[in-house]
Amino acid sequence: MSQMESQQERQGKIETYRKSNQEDINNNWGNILAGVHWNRIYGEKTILNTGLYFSRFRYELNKNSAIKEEFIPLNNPTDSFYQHTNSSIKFLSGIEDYNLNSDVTSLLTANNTLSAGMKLSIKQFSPIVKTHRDITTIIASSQTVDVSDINTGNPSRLINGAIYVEDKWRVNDKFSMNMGLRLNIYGVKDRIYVYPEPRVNIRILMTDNFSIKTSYSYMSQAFHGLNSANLVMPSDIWVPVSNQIVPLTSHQASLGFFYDLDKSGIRFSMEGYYKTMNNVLEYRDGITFFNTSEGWENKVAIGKGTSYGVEFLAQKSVGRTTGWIAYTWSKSLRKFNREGNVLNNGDVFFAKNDCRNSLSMTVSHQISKKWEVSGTFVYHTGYRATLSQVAFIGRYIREFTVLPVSYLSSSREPVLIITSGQQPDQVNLDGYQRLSTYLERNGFVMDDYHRLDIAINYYLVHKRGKSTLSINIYNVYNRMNAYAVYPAFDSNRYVLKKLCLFPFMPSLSYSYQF
Amino acid sequence: MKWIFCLFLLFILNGCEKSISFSGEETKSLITLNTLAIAGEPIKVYVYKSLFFLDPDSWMTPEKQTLSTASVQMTINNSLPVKMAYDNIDNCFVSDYCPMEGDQLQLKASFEGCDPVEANTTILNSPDFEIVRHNSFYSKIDHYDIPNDDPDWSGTDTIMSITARLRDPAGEENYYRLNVRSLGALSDSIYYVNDLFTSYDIVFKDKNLSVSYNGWAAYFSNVFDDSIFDGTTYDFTIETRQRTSTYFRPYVVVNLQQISEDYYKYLKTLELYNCSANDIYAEPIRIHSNIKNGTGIFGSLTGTRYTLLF
Repeated sequence: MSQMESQQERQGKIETYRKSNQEDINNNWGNILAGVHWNRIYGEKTILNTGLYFSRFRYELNKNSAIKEEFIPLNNPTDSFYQHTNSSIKFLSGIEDYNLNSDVTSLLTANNTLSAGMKLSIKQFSPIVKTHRDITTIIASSQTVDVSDINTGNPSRLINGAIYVEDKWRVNDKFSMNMGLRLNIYGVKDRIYVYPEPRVNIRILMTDNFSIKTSYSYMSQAFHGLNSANLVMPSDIWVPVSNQIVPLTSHQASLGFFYDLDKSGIRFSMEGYYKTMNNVLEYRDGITFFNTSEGWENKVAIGKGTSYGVEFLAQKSVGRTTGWIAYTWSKSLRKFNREGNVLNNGDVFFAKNDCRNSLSMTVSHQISKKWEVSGTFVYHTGYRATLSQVAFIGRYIREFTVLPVSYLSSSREPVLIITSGQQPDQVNLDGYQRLSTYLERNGFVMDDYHRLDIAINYYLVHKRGKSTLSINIYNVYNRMNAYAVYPAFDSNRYVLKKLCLFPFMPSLSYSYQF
Repeated sequence: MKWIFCLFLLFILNGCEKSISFSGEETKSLITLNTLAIAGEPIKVYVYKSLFFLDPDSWMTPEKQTLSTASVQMTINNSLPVKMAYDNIDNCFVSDYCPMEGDQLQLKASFEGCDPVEANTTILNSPDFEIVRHNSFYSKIDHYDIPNDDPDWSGTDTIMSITARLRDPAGEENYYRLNVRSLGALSDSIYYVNDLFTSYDIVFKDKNLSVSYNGWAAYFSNVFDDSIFDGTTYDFTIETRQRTSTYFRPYVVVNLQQISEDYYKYLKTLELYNCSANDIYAEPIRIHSNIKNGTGIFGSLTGTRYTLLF
């Protein structure tokens, strides 16, 4: 709950201004996964894998707010203005996915393995935003109520068919390469997209312990994640491509150096990557899901993205104690300068998920055959968001501003009172407006993110099958990582507030394999 | 034991909302210039200092944010710069020079503690605009049916339909604003005034303005570009309303202004800002500015004006 009270000037009058704002947020999410998998070996050299999978993802974010504003003129309290606004917004993001995969792998020669396969997937997306707003306005003794309920978005289906072929070729003891070509076909209502996607990766074994790897791939993706730049509302929803919105495509190249420390299972590596993306989406400035049921396609702009970085990794994969530690330095940028899709004045800006430094560590120790403990520490610099940090004065200059100069108290019709020598058609309201703007999109960096998770696993072997009992604790030291940051009033001051979710969370799981 | 358990539940299941200190780099104050150069009129430059949004002084009136001691100079057509003087009555810097069509103007301003700013604009030609026809439609209000015989309710409700013609120059991008004011005199110093108009014409449609603001209909803007009619002669029709009175015959002033591209973009972002200002769920907006190292706008406009009697 935030409140403020001050004296302000509005329409040439000094008034007492009061504002209070109460909000609450809740979110729910869940996953269902099911699958059937079948393997068949033909002879000694050919394996056929076929799988049928189903998954359902649901995410729901609800936010409710109640805002009360009051303007009370000092000299005429009966001319007061009150406005109460109750609003709620619900973001629903759902994906149902039906998948059929079939792959065949054949050892053609000792140095050549050929794989080929097909995939058919039907995805049902449900990106829906429901809003409700009722505004009660009281001017003197007159009251009006304005109610609106708007639903945006409809379920839509994406059909994806793909075939691929891949060849793993060990040219000699030092040199091997993996080449592949995938053909992706996406079908939405009234439109089909076809994308051939080549990829290659090469490994050069310089010595027994040291190797260099390089790779290139071209990929496409037929659904987009929409991220709100509004600090008040993290509202990521997944939407499929459509007749207006084309798939995202990317080119990625990487170069890495890998060193194995004898046979101890310890490996060090350094790998850099460079990726360019086309047809990334961002919400346009000023977009709201209130007041209009216009589809989400009209609320987004299309642009380009670039990301690059380098990762340093040390890992131990052998022995009772295993784990890895990785540090990544990366940059992720966006540019939206196509006609009709300009954001940030067409200049380059940081992506919301641009986190300059990240560090992660995992350690797992097998205490005995039955007991295992593990811990994971994650750190990265804060996510980015857009904050209108600059407050300035904008003036009405030579405008017919439609703001009435004054009202006749009985008729409430706007009138103009002119002084001697003035021409009524040349009198302009010489007023001002407080404005706030941002200088750079996603220019604000939230607090650094870090947390520690631990897990204890107990393994059991039964007559038929085996089971695992796990106790997991997410965010052991209850770090209040910022989920959203927003300006609000507190004790009559304008302050910055953060919303934290996912604190200390223990969980228990049991799995049985047979 | 019970309270420990409840405390444990509270600890593990809560989220939190709390005030935090701003962790980034506070935006330093920028010089804000608000200026419109109008052909045939002296230039007024309003100079303010922008503030960080958490600064409590950001809610102060403009008089307290005016930089009356700033140094402001103007250059006209690449000639020697002219220093502008501060006017204590209008709280702005003024120039005696009245720009003419085709003039190229450059503004520079500096103030201690802020980066110096500069901006450019060119005075545009007045638009080739004429009124094709106008018709008035009366709906008489019977004076004797008004409760309490209130004199304010006397008169006639009138709509004027105006068809105008605009000849747009070819081969260039042009931007316009249409101002329409209808006036009906109650006395020699008090007028009914209406600055709103309506139209079904597509040039006034703006799909980004999804909410009604200040009396304007939703999806409606009086600021438009020539993308629909570039290089052609285009007719459009608007309607405005006025309550007539018996003191003086009411009239309408129609002013079509050709505005600079930067001013057009500024007005468009301002419209969007006003539509979403009270919507806490709206995406943030960057107010367009052509002030290098600062905020605000240095725009230009030239208008063609007609007066029509009801």
